Amino acid sequence: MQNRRQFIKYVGTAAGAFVAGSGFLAGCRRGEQTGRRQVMIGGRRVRTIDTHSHCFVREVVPIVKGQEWASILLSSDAGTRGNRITPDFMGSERVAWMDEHGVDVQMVSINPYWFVGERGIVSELIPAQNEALAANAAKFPGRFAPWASVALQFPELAAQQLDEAVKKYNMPGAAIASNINGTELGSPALDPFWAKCVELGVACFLHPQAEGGQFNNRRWPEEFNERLAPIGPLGQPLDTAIGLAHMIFEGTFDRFPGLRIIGAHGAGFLPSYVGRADSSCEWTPKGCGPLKKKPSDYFREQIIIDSLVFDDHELRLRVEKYGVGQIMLGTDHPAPWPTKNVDDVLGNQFLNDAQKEAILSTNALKMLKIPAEA
Amino acid sequence: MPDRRTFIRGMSTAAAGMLIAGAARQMGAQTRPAGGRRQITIGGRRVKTIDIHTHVYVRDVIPLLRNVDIGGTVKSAASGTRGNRLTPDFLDAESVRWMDDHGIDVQARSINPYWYSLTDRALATKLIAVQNAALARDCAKFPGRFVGLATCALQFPDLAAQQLEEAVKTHGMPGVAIAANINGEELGSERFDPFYKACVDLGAAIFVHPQGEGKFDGRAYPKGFADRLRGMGNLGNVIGYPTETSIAFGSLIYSGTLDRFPGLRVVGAHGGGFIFSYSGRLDANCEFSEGARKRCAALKKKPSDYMREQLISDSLVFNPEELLLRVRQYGVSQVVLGTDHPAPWPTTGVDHVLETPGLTDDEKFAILGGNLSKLLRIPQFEATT
Repeated sequence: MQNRRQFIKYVGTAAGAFVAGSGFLAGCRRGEQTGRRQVMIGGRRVRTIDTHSHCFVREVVPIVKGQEWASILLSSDAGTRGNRITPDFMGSERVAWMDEHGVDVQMVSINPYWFVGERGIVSELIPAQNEALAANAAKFPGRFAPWASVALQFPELAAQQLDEAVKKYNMPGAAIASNINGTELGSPALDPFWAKCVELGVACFLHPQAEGGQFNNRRWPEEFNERLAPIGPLGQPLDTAIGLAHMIFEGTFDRFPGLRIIGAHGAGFLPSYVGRADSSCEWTPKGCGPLKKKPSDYFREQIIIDSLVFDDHELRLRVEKYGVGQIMLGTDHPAPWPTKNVDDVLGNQFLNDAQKEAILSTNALKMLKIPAEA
Repeated sequence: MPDRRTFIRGMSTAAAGMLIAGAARQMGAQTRPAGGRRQITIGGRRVKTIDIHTHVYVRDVIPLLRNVDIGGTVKSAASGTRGNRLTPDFLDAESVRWMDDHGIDVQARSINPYWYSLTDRALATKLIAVQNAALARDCAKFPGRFVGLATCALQFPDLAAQQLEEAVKTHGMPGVAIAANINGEELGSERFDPFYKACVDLGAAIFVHPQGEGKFDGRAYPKGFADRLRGMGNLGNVIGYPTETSIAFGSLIYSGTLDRFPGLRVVGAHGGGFIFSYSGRLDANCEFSEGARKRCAALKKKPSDYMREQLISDSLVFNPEELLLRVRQYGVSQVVLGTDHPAPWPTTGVDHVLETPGLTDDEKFAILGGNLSKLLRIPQFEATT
């Protein structure tokens, strides 16, 4: 694991002098009360972009009030959700946390809670939600780049919603789940939506829903959580693996070569356990269909991997196997992981300065629409 | 990586005496007497290669299965209708020739459990006794080349403990093969403690192998999971198997089984599944919430530490990065040769280890044979430290 002295040498602030914090997160550096921690690598200021952070917007509460499927949003709004580092909304408390931890830009996303909603209500909900995301982000210029919400259970509608979000609010793409209320991501029904992503030149951020593909207590498959619940947090990377596997093997990535998907939590199990998929296609080619590439090759281009794997070796494998250009910072803020965020990347004993800069900043700046620094 | 077909063609017995190792490949020095066994030497030392992960059946059980609806695979193997195997599912001279060609000195053969759904204790008793005796007899036909891993009726844990004792004491078996769940019951259930106690008392290692998406002759566990793995990509195997193994290892960790039995050693097939290459999240989760903190506080170690001692991974991960990750993260003592023979994977077994860049000679020696010499008490050709 990382050596504290090693990463401290990468850390600087505009103000210079600062005092080490002794807060919840070991290894954090505290900037001056008013200043932002400036992340420096090799003497250069690096603008850090976090592709994986969560939020809600309160503006939609009147629309979804009383809907059981909106219970996560409603409990956040009521302040009863608990166990978050900062509130689930864009606001000054969150910006202060970002300042302290050297996160310049958060690409916030709203985990889809509406995939079970009917067409009428989601047609009202999504435009209001995207408008509010844009408005809340605009209060802190240059600090937030929200992923659009889309009602992917209605793919044509989702394509329109994405079109509006990108053209009206300049959003970088859409936040999606690893299955759409039980429809796997490889389903051709979703093709109109993928076509729109490619047409607009935007990416998708793929995040699993709770353990085992759950939407507000709707578990899929039923009983699976019972097997996973006693043994730690394996449901999310499993759900991500299933989602990405279907996109690979059902030919989604082949049909849409321009499609780019960012997978949360290091893109789940597959990047560090893909050899079996590759070999299986050699063993039983007819089971794999006419893929254009080996399964692992999709992680070298179309699938992008966030850095949230909590272990230097697991991040190193992803960099070495797929190329550093495929990795982007992800923190999961405000989920209360014992992670050091940018310092997990800065302190990784196996990465050089250029790799760290690529992961923390330049990959996202090159590939995604990130608003300019204010 | 070498293509399997090319490789197998190159290694065919017709080419006896010739080495196909390309100059560019980092193969260990090999000698192969005409018509004889491919000998693996590493840094001048001959290593006795030992493969923990190979499958077998015995025909002797067929009469016992005539009137029960289990054992579909052994029945089709016995009737010659199973297909798609590199060599037959029964020990014979062809198996040994394959091993000779591929530089495998010893195979630990296991029978994937198909009998866990039997509720007839008397039948389970008879079946296992016949099966273990037949497995031992078949292995003995080829001295020094095979060890049998015991079969046990784990749905009856006390019976399984007795069966293991007999297998170890009567037949000299060095370990036992079990599935990743016992007919729908997780491995960490305290009901299995008498069996684990017997494993420790007898010094028997456990080899865990998943059953098709947790299926035992058609019984899927949990319901619905197989539905998510439908479609292209062989996902029942590609995702279902490593999920099963991950749940099995997770259960052994979090239920406290490994703490209750510090002497227990468990080898997971297929690189131990997903959990072996994704343990950072388990450790981090211990500080995530009150519930997770309590779950971890009940353990003697952090979750990944169990993979540094009691849980062991076989080498069947199909690429150098994933093999290297295991060695770097947990130490070379935690990785052992596994090939899945006679399953027709496009893997080169021994050469996968020999050709993984970044492994030292000592590490290759340990993975190919040294570690299993200790675990299964199979001496190397020359005494090593």
